[in-house]
Amino acid sequence: MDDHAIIALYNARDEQAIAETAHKYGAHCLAIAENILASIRDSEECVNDTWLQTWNSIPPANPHSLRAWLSRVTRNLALNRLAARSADKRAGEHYTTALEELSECIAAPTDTEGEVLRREEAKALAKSLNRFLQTLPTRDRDIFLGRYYFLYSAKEIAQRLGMKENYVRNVLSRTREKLRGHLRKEEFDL
Amino acid sequence: MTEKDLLSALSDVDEGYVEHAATALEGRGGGRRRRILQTVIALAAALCLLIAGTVGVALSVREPDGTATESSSFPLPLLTTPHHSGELSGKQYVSLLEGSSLSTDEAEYPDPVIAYREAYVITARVIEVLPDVYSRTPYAAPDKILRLQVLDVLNGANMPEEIYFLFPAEYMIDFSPYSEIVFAMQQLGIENFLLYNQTDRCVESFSLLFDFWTHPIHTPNGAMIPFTDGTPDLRLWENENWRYGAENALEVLKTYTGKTDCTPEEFKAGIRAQTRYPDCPVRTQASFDFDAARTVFAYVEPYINGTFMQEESDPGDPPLISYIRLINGFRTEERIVMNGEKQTVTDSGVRYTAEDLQSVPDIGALIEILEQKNLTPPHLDTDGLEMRGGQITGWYRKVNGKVYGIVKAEWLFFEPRQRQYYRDDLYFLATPDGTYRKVSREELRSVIGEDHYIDTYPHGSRVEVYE
Repeated sequence: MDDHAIIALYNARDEQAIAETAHKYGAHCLAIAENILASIRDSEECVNDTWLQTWNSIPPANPHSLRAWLSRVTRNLALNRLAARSADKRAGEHYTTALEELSECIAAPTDTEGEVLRREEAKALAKSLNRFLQTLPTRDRDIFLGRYYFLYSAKEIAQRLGMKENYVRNVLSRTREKLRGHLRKEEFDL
Repeated sequence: MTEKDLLSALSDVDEGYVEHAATALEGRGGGRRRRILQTVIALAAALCLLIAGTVGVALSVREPDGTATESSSFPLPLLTTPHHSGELSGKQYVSLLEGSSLSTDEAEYPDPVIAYREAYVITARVIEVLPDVYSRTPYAAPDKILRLQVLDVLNGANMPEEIYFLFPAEYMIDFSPYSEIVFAMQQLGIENFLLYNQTDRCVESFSLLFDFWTHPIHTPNGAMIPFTDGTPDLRLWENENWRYGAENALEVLKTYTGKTDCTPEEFKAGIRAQTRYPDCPVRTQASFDFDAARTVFAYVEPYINGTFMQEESDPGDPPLISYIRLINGFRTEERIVMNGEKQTVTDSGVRYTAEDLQSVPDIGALIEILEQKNLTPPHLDTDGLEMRGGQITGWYRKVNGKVYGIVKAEWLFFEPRQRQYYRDDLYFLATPDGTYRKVSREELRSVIGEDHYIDTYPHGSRVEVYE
C-alpha cells in the first residue's frame, strides 16, 4: 500500500493504518531502534510506541515522506528511552561508536552529562546541520546519514551501497572533518 | 554542546535527505537481519573513555603452538614443463576468507572533474567486447576488454586509431546504444602488458592497453560519459552499479560547459580549453631505442624465454620500464629495469634458466590444498575481534641454483572498543624436492634470505592503518 493510502487510513481513524504501517516499515523502524538500544525487547516496545505516537499525530500532521517521519519518531523515542535507562542497561555498539566518531567534530566538548541542550539551541543546531548536509554531494550525504542517522556500521553501509568498506570510512572521515569546520564557522563549538 | 546533542539534533534534519538516504541504503542488502548484539559498552564508560582518552587494552596473544614450526613435510607436485607458453596450472584466483581486501591504506582517488584535466581523454565507440574474462593479478577482480575505435582525441598525442580498454566485469553493460562515449583514461601498458586470462587459464600480453583514470569502484563513474544524437545519454546510469555515476557525469559536464545538456562539441571544447597536458604523448616502445633496450626486448619477447610482466613509471616521472618474470602466474625476483632517459639497463642479478624451469614446485596446487584446510591465524586470539580481510599469496625465489616456492596466508582484524587493527601471518615453503611444509618467518629467512614479502611486525602488536 502506498504512503498516501496509509495516511488516508490514519485520517479516517481506521486502525488498519497501524497494521499497514507496521507491515511496510516495521523492519526499518526496528533496525533504527536496535542500533540505539541493543535490546530486542526494548526495540520492539520502542517501535510500538512509534505506532502509537503516529496514530496520535496524524492528523493533523501530514508527512510528505512517511518513512522519514517514522524514522524520526523512532529515533527520538529510542534516544529518549536510552537516556531514561538505568546505568546498568547499555546502548547499542553502533550508537556508542557513532558518538565517539562525532566527538571529533566538536572542538571543545563540554562535560554536560545530565544537562540537555536548550530547546532553542537544539533547533538552531538542527538548522545548521541542514545547511551542512546541503553542501555535501548526494553520495556523501547518504553515507553520512547512514552512519549517524540510521546508525549502520561502515560495513553495512558499504554492502548496502555496493562500495568498499574503506571507501565508506574515508568518506565518513572527510565528512566529519568538514562538519567540524562547519560547526566552528557557525560558532557551535563554544 | 556534546556529541550526544549532535547525534540527537540529526533527528530533525530535512526529511528529504533522510528519505533519499533510506532509499539508497535499501540497495543490495535487502531486509535488515535481526541480530542480537553481543558486544556492548556502558554509555557512561564510553563517555569516560572519550573524556579521559583511550585506555590500553591488552590483547591476548596466543603462543605459537608446538606445530607452528613443525618440520613435517607433505608431497607437492612439481612443474616439469618449461612454461614458455604462459599456461598456468593451479588456482589463479584464491579468496581464502570472506572480507575486504587486506590492504587498508587506500589512497584518495581524484574526482572526475580533475581526471579530465590530467588524463588521456578521447571520444570513442566500442566495436568489440573480447569474450574472455581477465584480471591483473591472480587475485584481482575480473575485467573485460573492450576494443575501442578512437573518434576524437581531446587530451593526448599519438593516440592510435584503435586501443584496448580494461573494463571492470562488475560494471559491464551493453554499449551498442551509444554512438560516442567520452573516456578519461590512463595508459596501462606499452607492449607485453600481461593479463591473466581467467577463462582459458593462461596469460596474454596486450599492447597499448588503457583503463579508467578514476576507477568505477571509487567514483562510479564520471570518467565515462556517453552521447547519443548530440546529447548526453543517461541510459547508461540505469544500471544500479552506476548509482552515483549520473551525478558525477553531470558534475563534469557542468564544470566544462556550465550546463548539463551540452552537445558533445561544447563538451570537447570545454575540455580542450582546460586540459593541463594536451600534448602528453601515448607511450610506445620507440622511446627506448638504444642497444641494451633492444637486447632486453628480445629476451622478454612473449614466451621465448618465459613469461614476463611489464610495469612502467607514470607520465611525468623518469621513463622506466621494468620486466618481472612470472612462473605459473607468480612473481619471481628476476627483474630488469630500463631507464629511457639515461639509456641504461639494470637488473636484479637473478636469471631463471630453462634448466631451472624444469623442476619448479607448483605453488598454485599448494594454494588449492591450503584452501581446503581452513587455516586460522596461528598467533592471535581472535575472540572479540572482527575479521576485516584475509588473503593468500605466493612467490618464487631461486637459492643456490634451486627454485623454492613460498605461500603466505595473512589476516587483518579489528578490535572495536579501542578501534585498533591487528595482523597475523603464516608461511609455507615448497621445495624443489617435491614437498611443502609450514615454516616460521625465521626458518623461511634461513632458507631464502631476507625478503620484503616476509613481514617483520611483532605478532600481537597493533598495526597502524590509514582510515
